[in-house]
Amino acid sequence: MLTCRASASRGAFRLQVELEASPEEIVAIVGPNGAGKSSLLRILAGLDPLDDGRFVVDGDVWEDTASAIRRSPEDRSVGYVPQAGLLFPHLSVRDNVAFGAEHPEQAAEWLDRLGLSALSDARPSELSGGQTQLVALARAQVRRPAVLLLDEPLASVDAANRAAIRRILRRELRDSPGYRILVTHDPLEAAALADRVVVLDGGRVTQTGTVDDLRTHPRSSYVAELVGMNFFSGEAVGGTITLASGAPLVSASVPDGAALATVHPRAVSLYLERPTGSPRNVWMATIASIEPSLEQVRIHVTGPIDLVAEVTRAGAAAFSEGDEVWVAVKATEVTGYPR
Amino acid sequence: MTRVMPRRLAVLAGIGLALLLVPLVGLLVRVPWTGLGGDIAGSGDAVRVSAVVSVLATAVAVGLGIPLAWLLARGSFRGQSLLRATVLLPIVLPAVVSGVALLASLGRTGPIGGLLDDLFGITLPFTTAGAVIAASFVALPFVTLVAEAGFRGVSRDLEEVAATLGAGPWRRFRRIALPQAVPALAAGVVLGWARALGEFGATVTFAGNLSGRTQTLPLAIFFELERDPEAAFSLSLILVAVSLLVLTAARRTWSR
Repeated sequence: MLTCRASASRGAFRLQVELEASPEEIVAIVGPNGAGKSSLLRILAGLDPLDDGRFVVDGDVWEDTASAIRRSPEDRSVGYVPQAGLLFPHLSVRDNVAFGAEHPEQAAEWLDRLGLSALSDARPSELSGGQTQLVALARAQVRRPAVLLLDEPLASVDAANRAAIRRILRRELRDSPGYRILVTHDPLEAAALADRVVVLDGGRVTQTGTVDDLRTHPRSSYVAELVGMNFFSGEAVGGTITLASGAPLVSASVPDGAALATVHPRAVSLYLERPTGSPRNVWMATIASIEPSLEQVRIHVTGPIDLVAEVTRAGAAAFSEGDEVWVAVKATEVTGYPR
Repeated sequence: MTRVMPRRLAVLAGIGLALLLVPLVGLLVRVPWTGLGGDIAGSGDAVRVSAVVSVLATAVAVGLGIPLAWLLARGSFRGQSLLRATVLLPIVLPAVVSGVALLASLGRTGPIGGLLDDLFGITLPFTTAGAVIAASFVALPFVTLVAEAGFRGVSRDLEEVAATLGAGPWRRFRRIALPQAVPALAAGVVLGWARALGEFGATVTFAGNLSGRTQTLPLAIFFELERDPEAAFSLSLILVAVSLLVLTAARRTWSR
């Protein structure tokens, strides 16, 4: 097991985290900018010290403030792939990868494995963002580290190559023994690469679970936003959640008491006329904004309850900003769960 | 394209250029071109002493200046700014004061010079070794200053990555910081060497003017000026030519 209880301050920012990982899983640390994701990774790599806490990997104490133990980065078995790769600019691709290797031949093996052999003699300045990232990964992997740490591995890869690089990353992460922890702000990346997500916000872990857990049961508006769900918080009595604004939201499945609820944007219907039929939640609202994306159009409505509806491009043609519309949500589409 | 040079700046720049060029042209005019070979041959000792002293002094200044520069660039300790001031002092100190200070400490009656004499029978003043020390003393700050700037330009992130790859402090310095600071270090070597080659005041004060042992080219030029001014012009031309050559070669290497 890898367990880390970390407390550290950088100026006004305070990081207070408990992290656990097993060698059977790939963990993604997800959070907004400034949440402390990279700070946490630097602490695990040994680049920044803990103010207070304890970090143990497979029974080896890597850091323990209580007994003043602190292993420097060079004495930890870590593979650190920093943001943007940070290859050594004065060394060839081969020498970059060989830097941490015990035997120089290992560099060739890893370059071959990642399909980079043809670039062995290239300088880092000649590489694309994706190639840089793969060389940085090979450089870290050549040591077969006990703990592999990746900081925003796809952030500097251009969109056209992202899927291809992500596939290679996914394969490499799956095939690596040991602990694998990556940091990302992109939920898509977390979903593609990780088994479990740790949500970090304001220096604290606000939620942890599989991507599916997060999608169906977000515990904060940040996570709901991340997975693209409408998110509500209130008090439930007999299937009706009373939101903080006082507006009622009927759910087919919510236990009494403090409750959270989600509604998928595609489950929100908009009408110009009062809808007939069965939906339990119907109210009038104003269209605040219409935001097209590739296939769908996201329509923000404000009223007794603010939410986002996702409709097809054809369906959106009927609406324009400022319109008064009827909003309808079926009770079965309101997923309630205890807060 | 817009004009970038205001007229008044252009005029002042021209005067500045003249101030630098006129003496050199004067020197070229006065050099006795026909007797040049004889003058130089007659000063073979001074050329040899200058070559030996400047090269050894540069080696000393580089060997000690790079560690000092690394300490100043990467260290964080009390008295760091005091250390930097100390390192830079010889740049602003009149060279003769440097010579007097060396004499006071390393001279036969000085605290360290006396000890060296008593314990090992080593005397530094008025020896070639003394001339090397004097030249090192004035060259060291230039090497240190330029090398420190070079080390500051090396990203710490790369050293951190190297640490996660198992590299200890020495390997990080050797394999990451040093290679990336090479252009700055080369500049430091050239500046330090030029300063050592031109050193006069500290050398004449501490090491004296002994032909074949401590009389470097600048000293020979100064003392020839009274005896045989034409020989002084010839020797000056050598220094100008060598300095220009090295500066040009160095420029070509850096800009590559």
